Amino acid sequence: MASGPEGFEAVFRPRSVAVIGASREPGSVGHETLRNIIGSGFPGMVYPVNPRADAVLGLRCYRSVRDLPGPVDLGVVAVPAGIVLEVAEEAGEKGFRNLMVLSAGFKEAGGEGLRREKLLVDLCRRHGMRLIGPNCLGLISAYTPLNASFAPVSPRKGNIAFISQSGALVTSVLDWSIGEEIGFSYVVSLGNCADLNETDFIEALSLDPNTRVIAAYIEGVGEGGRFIRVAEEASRRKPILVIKSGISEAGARAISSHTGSLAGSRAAYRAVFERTGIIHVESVEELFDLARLFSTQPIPRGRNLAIVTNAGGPGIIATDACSQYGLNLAWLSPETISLLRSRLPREASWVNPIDVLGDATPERYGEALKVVLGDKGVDSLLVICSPQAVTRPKEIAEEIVKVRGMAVDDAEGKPIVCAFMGGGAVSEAVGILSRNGIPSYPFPEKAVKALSYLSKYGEGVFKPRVEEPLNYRVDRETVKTVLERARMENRVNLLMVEAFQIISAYGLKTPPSVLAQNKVQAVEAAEEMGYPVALKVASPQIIHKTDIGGVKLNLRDRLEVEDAFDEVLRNASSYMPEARIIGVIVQKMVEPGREVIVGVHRDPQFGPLIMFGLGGIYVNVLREAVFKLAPVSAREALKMIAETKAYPILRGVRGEAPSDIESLAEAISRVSQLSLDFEEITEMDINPLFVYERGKGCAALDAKITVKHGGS
Amino acid sequence: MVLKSLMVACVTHESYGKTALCIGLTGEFTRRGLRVGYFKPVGIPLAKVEGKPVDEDAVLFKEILGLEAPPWRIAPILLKYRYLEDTPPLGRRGFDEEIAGAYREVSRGRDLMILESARELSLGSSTGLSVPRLARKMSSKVLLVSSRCEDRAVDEVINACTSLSCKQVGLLGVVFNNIPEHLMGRVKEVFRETLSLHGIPVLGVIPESIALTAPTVGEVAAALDGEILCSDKASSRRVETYMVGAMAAEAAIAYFRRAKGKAVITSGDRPEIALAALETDTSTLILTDNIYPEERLRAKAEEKGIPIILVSYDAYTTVQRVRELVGRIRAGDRHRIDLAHRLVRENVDVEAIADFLGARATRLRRET
Repeated sequence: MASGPEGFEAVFRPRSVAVIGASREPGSVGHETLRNIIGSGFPGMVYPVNPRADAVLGLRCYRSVRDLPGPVDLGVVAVPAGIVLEVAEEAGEKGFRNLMVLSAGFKEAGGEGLRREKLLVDLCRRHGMRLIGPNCLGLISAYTPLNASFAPVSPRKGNIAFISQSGALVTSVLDWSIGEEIGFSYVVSLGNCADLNETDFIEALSLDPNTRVIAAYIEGVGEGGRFIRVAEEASRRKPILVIKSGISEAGARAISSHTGSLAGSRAAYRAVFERTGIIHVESVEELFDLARLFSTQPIPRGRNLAIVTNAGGPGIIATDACSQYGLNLAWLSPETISLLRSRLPREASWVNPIDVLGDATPERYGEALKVVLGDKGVDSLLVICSPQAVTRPKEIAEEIVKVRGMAVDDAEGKPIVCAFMGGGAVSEAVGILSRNGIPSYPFPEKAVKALSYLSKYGEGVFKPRVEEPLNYRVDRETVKTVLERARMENRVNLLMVEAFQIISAYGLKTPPSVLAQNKVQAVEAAEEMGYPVALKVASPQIIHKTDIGGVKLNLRDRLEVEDAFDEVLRNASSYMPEARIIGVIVQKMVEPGREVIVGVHRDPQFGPLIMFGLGGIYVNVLREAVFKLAPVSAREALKMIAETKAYPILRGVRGEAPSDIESLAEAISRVSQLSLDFEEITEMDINPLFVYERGKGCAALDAKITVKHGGS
Repeated sequence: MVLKSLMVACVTHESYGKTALCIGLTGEFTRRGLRVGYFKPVGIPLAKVEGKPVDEDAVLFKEILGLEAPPWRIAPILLKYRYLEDTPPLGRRGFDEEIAGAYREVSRGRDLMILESARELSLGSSTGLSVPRLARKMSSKVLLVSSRCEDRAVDEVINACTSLSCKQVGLLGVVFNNIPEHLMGRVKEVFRETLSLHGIPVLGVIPESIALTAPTVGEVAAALDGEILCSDKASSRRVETYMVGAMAAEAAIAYFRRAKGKAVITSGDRPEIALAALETDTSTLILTDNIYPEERLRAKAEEKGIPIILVSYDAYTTVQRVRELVGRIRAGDRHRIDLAHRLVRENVDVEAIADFLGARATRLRRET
């Protein structure tokens, strides 16, 4: 069965293509697809299949798949959903290697369609045939060349591979790309991803020599674990740009409505991108702003940008953009400045941004560029051109292309981007630049933003995170015992004392805590552990104990404990009469420390997400939390801590002693190991975790764990 | 000799469990070789047999005990929703004769009778059908059932005892039903002690049993006048608790994981909440405000075998209506019937009850 990147040969460079449902009607899917295949100059065999025609578009037509002379590498199906299964069966029997079903009426239609799709997948599997779609626009392989889609437009050739889970988006992008002079190596409409999905294509495209960057529109990921593994590998080879829709609250609803699947949490996807090195963008525009730069220009060695402009204002805008996006304005060397002084008019500016003035000729531009490119302190170059009275944008563009082509000292490896600002006046110039692999943006800030991504990419900001497996010395047996007891009693929420047993087994410190079911037990426990103590109501239904008066601190003697017992139970039952109140936890009071929260949320697709944030009762107000996919090493945990507002506070402000950040990082790391060792743990909240002065470690004051028992 | 009978009644309308207790008791006595009969003088017409309105418990016990009499004799008087106008033309005596006649028929050939009241003590007082009055007429003692576990439950029992003594009816004792694990101790010790000071024996403390009290998806749908949109084969699944889905999508999964066997109440225009619920252990979705779910959501639920109940009420009303819903034991529900037998056998002092009924292991001899 065709699988893995080798199998994609037959998908991307098929020797034969069959179009099943090749209609004679112009405008129909089958007809347009066939027209595109022929029109793209596909060198292989093309077999239209249509029981009602002898010939379509000049090609001999076959009555059915059975009549074909032999197996086909890629079958394109454009018949109504109701007969797709029949056709697929014939194709399978005939030995087709791949089937691409354009027809709609499958999972996206719900009910009957869902069933039909399942049957289709089974059928293809049985015959060892890979399936693309269903419900897709088709695929375009520019270098084969092959356009096996019913898009009205064929794209230019280039180095960008674009895959999309929305066929409509593909149609729009293709149409738009022509005017923008953006070129593609592949364009793939994934459809319902019933078999071959985004993960498969990312893997194959990352190995393709004609592709320099992969751009993807994703609504959902089919196989979370596999996606992570593949994307990690793939992003080492080439940049992967992804726009993930449905990340807003309303967007999540829209995705659930549109696809009938969960959108996947924002936090989880961010963590996935961080782990795999995928570059996440927030708009389709940004996707292609970056793609066109990533696919044409070299990666800069640093963040130092030189700006050459014929207009002061836009130069300043570009400068501001540098601050905003994290690029530096290059400091030009004295030699460079001296050279610029000698070659530019007296009124020009030879301090970055270099203003060559509104009457700059192509030659003046050229001189400035050569000098600047030769400066060792310059890593990248932005050329701004505004079409003023005597400006000749076309010639300026030609000059830029010429300079690029010259062997200027130290110029190799320095990306050049342009911002030719205007419409009709600069369109020819932009065309010349684009065709020569130099992207031009309509406004300078877009150019700067794109360059900043390329720079960061070069620095390794988007490198995939490699993690060694964690192996702290831990007590797995205790955890197993606690979980087993909960399983036997059919409980999914663990009591605080049980949660404490589990995290202690993994090396986290907890103060002595005892569950007391009546006043006598409470006092006994308090006397045993020593005053002062705290009392906290124990109920799986009550989540915010402090808010409802379910926590009493600093109890110094038996009388206070007894009163607190009554009060805590009274408050709890009046807040939630139907709550199951198991009793009260008696806990030894500890020194207060800095409050943080450490948590685990097991994402159904991607596995355990480890969370860290400022804690205590303000966590829901401040809402600042950082997520990473487990495993999280202590070093990575330190990075997580450093990303939060809590960090400066933990390092110590205003003469306060610094906190034991190392111990906190280790605690986070151990929690991540726990989440991987025990799949039953679905949610965990350690809040608050007190972090003490350096050298004094940290202690968990409260912990909640929710579990899922196997098979349920 | 007057046939010994015991009337089982709930303390207040908030309690439940008398049917289960009756099942357990009749089961026990049958096991001891006695011919036990069952009679429900006043019933509620919730079902129909042969076109006639009948009480469901009558149907249930007819099957369990193999009674010959038809259900409308096992439960002869049926209280409709509005019954004040039903005072018979002959005054109270009309009902009395009907009840007496049916009772004669149903108790023929029986060694002892378990009587079940309609609900709580006071129901039917306006038409002479209250528990104290009927128990007096039938020379029965009363066994109370309370399923409340706050301290106030004890007061309710004592108050009920007073109502019974006013009519010179004896209270055999009380059985506490469906008590949560962590309160069993308190009920067995503190409640028992307090009640014994008032001369009321606690004859049983039955622990909480979700299997018995949780309604099925079908029962929930019926109680909400709802329509089951898919996976109706799963409508016998139990609903152990309810959760309302009104939070942000990101938090939904974590929240829903905290309970299993749940019904999630949300609306059809929040597919992301519904999908999050389907990701966890959910017995059914309840979609409110009559907002039909989109086909993709329905298909997803169908795929996972989870029913969707569509109701016209809003979320608040829905929660109010399901809050008090308790599963009923119906004819043919072998599993729950067996469970009721076991719970009574293990947790109720059947000997004391047998003592009263003179039903210790030996068969009674009837004196004509």
